[in-house]
Amino acid sequence: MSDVTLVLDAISRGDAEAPEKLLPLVYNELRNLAAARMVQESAGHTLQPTALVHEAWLRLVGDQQQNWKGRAYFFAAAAEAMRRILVEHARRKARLKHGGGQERLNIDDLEVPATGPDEQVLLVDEVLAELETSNPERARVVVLKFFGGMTNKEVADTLGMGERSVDRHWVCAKAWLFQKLRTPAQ
Amino acid sequence: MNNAQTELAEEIFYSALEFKTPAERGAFLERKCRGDGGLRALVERLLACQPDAEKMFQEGGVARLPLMPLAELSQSIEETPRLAETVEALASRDDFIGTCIGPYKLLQRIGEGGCGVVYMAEQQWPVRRRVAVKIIKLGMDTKSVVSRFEAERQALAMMDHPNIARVLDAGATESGRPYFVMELVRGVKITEYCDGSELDTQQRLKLFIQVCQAIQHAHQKGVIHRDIKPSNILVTIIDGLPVPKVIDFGIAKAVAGRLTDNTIFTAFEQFVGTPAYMSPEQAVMSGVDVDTRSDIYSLGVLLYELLTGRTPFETKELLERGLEGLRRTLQEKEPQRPSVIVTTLQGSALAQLAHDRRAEPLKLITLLRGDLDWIVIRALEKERSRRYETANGLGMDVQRFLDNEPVTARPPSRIYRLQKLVRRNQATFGAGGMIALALVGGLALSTWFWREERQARKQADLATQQALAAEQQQARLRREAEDHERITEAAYLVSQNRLEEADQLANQVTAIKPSLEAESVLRALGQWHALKGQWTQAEARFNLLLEVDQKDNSWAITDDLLMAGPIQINTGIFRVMSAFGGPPSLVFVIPPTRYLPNAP
Repeated sequence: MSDVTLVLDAISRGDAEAPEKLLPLVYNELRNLAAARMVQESAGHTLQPTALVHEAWLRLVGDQQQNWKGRAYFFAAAAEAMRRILVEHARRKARLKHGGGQERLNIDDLEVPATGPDEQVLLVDEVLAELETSNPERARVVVLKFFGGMTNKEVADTLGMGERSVDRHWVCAKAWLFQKLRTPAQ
Repeated sequence: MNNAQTELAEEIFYSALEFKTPAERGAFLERKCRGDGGLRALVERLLACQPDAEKMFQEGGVARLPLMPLAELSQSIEETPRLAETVEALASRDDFIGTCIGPYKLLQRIGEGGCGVVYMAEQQWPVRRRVAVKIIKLGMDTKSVVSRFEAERQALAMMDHPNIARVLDAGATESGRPYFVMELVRGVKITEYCDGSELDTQQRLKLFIQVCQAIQHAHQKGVIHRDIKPSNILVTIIDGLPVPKVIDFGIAKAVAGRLTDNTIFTAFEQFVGTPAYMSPEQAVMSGVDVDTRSDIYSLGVLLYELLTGRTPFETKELLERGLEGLRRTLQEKEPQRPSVIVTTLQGSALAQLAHDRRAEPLKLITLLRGDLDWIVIRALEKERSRRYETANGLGMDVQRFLDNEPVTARPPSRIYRLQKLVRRNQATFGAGGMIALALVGGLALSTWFWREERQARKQADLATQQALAAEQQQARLRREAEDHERITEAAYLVSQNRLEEADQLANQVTAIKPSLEAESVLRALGQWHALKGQWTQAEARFNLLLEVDQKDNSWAITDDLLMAGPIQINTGIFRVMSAFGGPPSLVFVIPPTRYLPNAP
């Protein structure tokens, strides 16, 4: 039994401190998985970050874990870990692009259609912070969808809401994010 | 703009998406906004940007981040330290990437073992190629590590085997750490590969045989691995076939060298990583007197883990009792047989284990029991002279199992156990040494010792005879116990209505002990065959049942005879009638189906 399943069991038993332990464990698993994939695959291979999250779930817990609560915590942690990883990655690349200086990316200067994946990650992350204060529930949906790559059904199970609500949150969030990213902040 | 309005706008926006034509949408908005211009403008704005928004998120039913080059993603995960790693740990490992060590340019970290970090590197000269460079952790005596490696370099160079990754070079970094250069193997740990690909037991055994052959080759060249464990056996796919590659040859010796008592414990955590794979003599003799048979032991542990998903002793269990406890466990505690340890697993763990091996739990247990148990146990013998002599011997025994030939491994006999008892209690049994002492010590003393010795020998003789008798007795008991287990399993299967499998098990039963369980199993199977019109098989089950009934003096014998009658008529055998002492007509009047429940 892996450490993660132990922690998930503790969570489902109601151990209040267990969720804290999940993030580093999930992160480590993502790391190991990515390293393993690196060794297995050819150099030019591409990968969806979200696929990695799912693979981590399958490898660690598989379909054995019927407990939705554990699953919810796992994906929340994995999405959060992936978010931090991608943001960190994008920041580093942005720094390199701008001559290695400390210059921050000004979102207003960027034409959205021209943004690459890295910029998009950064932009989403920045406006997400705003969304987290104004509409925390929707922010959670975005994290799970965007960084966790979960289906509407999975998000619905994770957050304990209806599938239609998830879809509404996500569709609205995308429109909102798009507006936010395209128009200068007021 | 207030929140309520935003919320309303979003609600309308979301509903409006259902209407595909502009006209329908317009009408819907008109109806919903009821002349509220501000609200309508909000909704229109959302609707206007919706297609672009979808495009930005590359919607395909599910939200997706764009594809990223695997290397980039992997690297950024690697380098995002804030979650799990301290800055300190990072500093000690990441400063190598991009630097050159000798002719090797380090490109990427591909793994971390107990004793060091492994990088993928590019050799710049004399040939340009990708290699793996293992940099040993700080705190080693670099000079002696390198010189020990140099001593074995000749032997290592002689090794040439498709299942062995070659060790190419060794040296010291500028900061004084020893490093090793190896053939780059792109693969995963053998245990992970087997579970990940859900290889069944046969496929696992075939891989294992290849590992044995590789180790055999090294042994023939005079090289002992000393650190065989799953992370040192990687499986790569070549032409669509899995090929195990043994890595790290010669490194354990160079790194570990002579372990002293003081270093051995830190060595476990730092170097060897997993004492679960360490042979008893490695633990006890501090790596001084280690020969090829130590590798055989580790191969035994590997086989154990491939079969059961566990090691004979858990690392945690070994480490928690300190060095002395670890030695004692490795030296004295007998590991549980694979088939036994598997039965102790919880239901879900057993189900997972079986699932990974594409078998049903019961079948897996049956498969392990017997030959595979004894093969593993023989490789894991505490005393190395009792193990397989060569890696090939072990591999061939596994091959014999696969070919359904008798294996050479056998359960340890009583005599052997007795010998071990004698050896452990030399003060009582060890007469030889004492006689020598007595001769020196004087006649009286020697006489006394002689009597003592004679008594001991008498005891030993007696014990040997008893042991022989006991062994025969034991063999019989074992057969009975095995049959009993089969019946128990069959009873379970019958209760699950898996009669076909139950029948296969019952078919193997020869010497049966009377029990209600056995009776009901045989009865159910006999009836089942009868219902299907398989009279011969039905008769066989009923014959055994009647035998059990008789032995047990069972009250059910009359019923059973009645049921057996029609069956035997159908097979053309009338033996049962003489048991009734009546004419054949007595049986004929009883329609067979009346006695067979659930008959159509």
